[in-house]
Amino acid sequence: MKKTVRDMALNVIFILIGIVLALLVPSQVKGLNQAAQMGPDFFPYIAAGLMVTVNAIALATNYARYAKEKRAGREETVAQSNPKDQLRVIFILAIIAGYVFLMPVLGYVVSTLLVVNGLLFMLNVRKWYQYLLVSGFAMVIYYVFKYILYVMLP
Amino acid sequence: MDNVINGFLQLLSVDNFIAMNIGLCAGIIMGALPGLTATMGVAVLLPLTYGMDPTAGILLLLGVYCGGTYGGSITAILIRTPGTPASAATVLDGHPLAQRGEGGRALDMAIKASTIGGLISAFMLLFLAPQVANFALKFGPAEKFTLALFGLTIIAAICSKDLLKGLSMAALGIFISCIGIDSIMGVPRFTFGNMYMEGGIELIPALIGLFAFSEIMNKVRDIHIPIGEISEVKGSKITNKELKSCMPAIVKSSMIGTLIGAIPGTGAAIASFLSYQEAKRASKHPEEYGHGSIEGISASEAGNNGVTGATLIPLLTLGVPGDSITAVLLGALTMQGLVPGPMLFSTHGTTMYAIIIGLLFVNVFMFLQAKLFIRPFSQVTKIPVNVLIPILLVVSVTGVYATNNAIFDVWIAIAMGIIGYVLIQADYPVTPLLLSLILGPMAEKNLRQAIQLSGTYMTFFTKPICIVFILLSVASIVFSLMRSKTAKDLVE
Repeated sequence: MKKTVRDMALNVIFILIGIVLALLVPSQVKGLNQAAQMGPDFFPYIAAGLMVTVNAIALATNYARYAKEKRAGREETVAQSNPKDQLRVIFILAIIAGYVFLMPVLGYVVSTLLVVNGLLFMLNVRKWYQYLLVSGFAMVIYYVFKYILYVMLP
Repeated sequence: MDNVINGFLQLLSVDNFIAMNIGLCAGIIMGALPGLTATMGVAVLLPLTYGMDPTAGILLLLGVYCGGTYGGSITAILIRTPGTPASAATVLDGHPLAQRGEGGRALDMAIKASTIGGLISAFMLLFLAPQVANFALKFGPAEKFTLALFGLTIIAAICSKDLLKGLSMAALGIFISCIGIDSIMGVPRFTFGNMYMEGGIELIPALIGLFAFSEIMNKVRDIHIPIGEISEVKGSKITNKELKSCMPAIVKSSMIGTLIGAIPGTGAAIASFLSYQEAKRASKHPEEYGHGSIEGISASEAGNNGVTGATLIPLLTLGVPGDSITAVLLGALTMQGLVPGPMLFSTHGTTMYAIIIGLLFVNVFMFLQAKLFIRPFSQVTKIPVNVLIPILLVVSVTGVYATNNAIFDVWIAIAMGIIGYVLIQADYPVTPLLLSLILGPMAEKNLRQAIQLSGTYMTFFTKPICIVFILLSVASIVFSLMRSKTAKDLVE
């Protein structure tokens, strides 16, 4: 993918986010006090405005760069990461999400042991003692938080 | 003076010394693991300090900070991969020495220079911080707003590579900081009817998400990339004569590191490279630089550890974090009830002096740990990343949960991690997001209070301190734009 095209796409996304946020301010900032010189809606508008303005400038700059590079016939591309690598990241995210869902249901110890061992398997760890070491470490973390720091773990 | 003595007496507890040594050990290990930064180390270990006494908790994290900054040099020297960006300059001379079988000498010089740099920086913190804090007591809402504004323009300094991307992230950070109950009028903002959102996006989940979760995702993506060949720790120690000959470079680099560290928006990497360049310029043997110069290592390491104490000056006295690691430390201090800012030295003087004097001890213990355990520490580089990932994940998730005993915080951290991971890939820096998350509320609250008190915007142009901060803000942006243009011109 061309770098300028990727950057322009992100600029458009940021502009859209900024516009949506600005449109949401009246409904999401409750109890607006019109008498106040500078109310609770001021900074959200500032943030949205800054996002739109900065990215509009960036979009124009990137478009000019894109046109210039195209004319010169030397367009900078970004290194595409392997889809397999990105898939692995998505898979990890799914595991983390599953972990957070399971924790209140199965409890901290069971869900943690399931997740660490599942992750080790997914990351191609094949030495049994490494499973033991990581599981042991996870239990040390449990002990520290539960019995030393008195955190009420699920 | 009473505070200094009481602080010293408060420091003299076994718990404090154990805490700083645990932090140092963990920090050196984190720094020595390629790709794991000191920032990540502090973020991940921060939840462990929740139940601790404030002095011990902060000293543990300062141990991680100093140890992590030094630990980066181990990988820089032994496997030509800087453990942290701050050790990038150490690679230039450290690895050639390791390849010649003199890794032991390189590591010996690295720890000696790091310790001297850290000590000088801690002394500067001890002497300068109270003066700055005394001055900052005069600040009212108007001054505090312009200070926050100056802090926000630091973003420009950090993102001189692409100012617009940095500002986009700052805008996102300011918006996220608006979520929750408005601090002045008490009305909910962008809570979408969710009661958990009323408390706002807390700093700890946000920073663990941005620095730990996103890094875990990066590690998972690049898991197949092998690390370089690891050199053995061989060779004798440096001699007293060599150390003496490097002392001018070490002292000068420590001062450069201290100066750079005290300026928000700079950091250890810049200090390290500037120190290295200056030492090379002033050296009698500049031709040796880049080919295994012991003096080069001393300059780089004294420079990067020279920032460790100085970065705490603006943080502790003004409440303005200069970089990502001090932003994380701000979260830790706040969690301990030590809210950084001008009042900190008045309200918690004894604890602050205990921490500052403790930083001197942290540097001494760092020296001792490195001298005694350098071989085991160097073995850390052999830990496979795929074994490390589940450990980091469990520590991070448990730490975030422990903040408020709430699963909701873990979801926030995951969301911030995804934002960080996606945007870092597109070259968006995450530090501006974190800084604006901290400085946004400070700017908003004080701006609105200043306007309410004075009734006019002109109040910012009638107070001398405000004018100074406004001028500094303008200078920061102009300087960054000039630097950005120079960098682009050089590329073209």
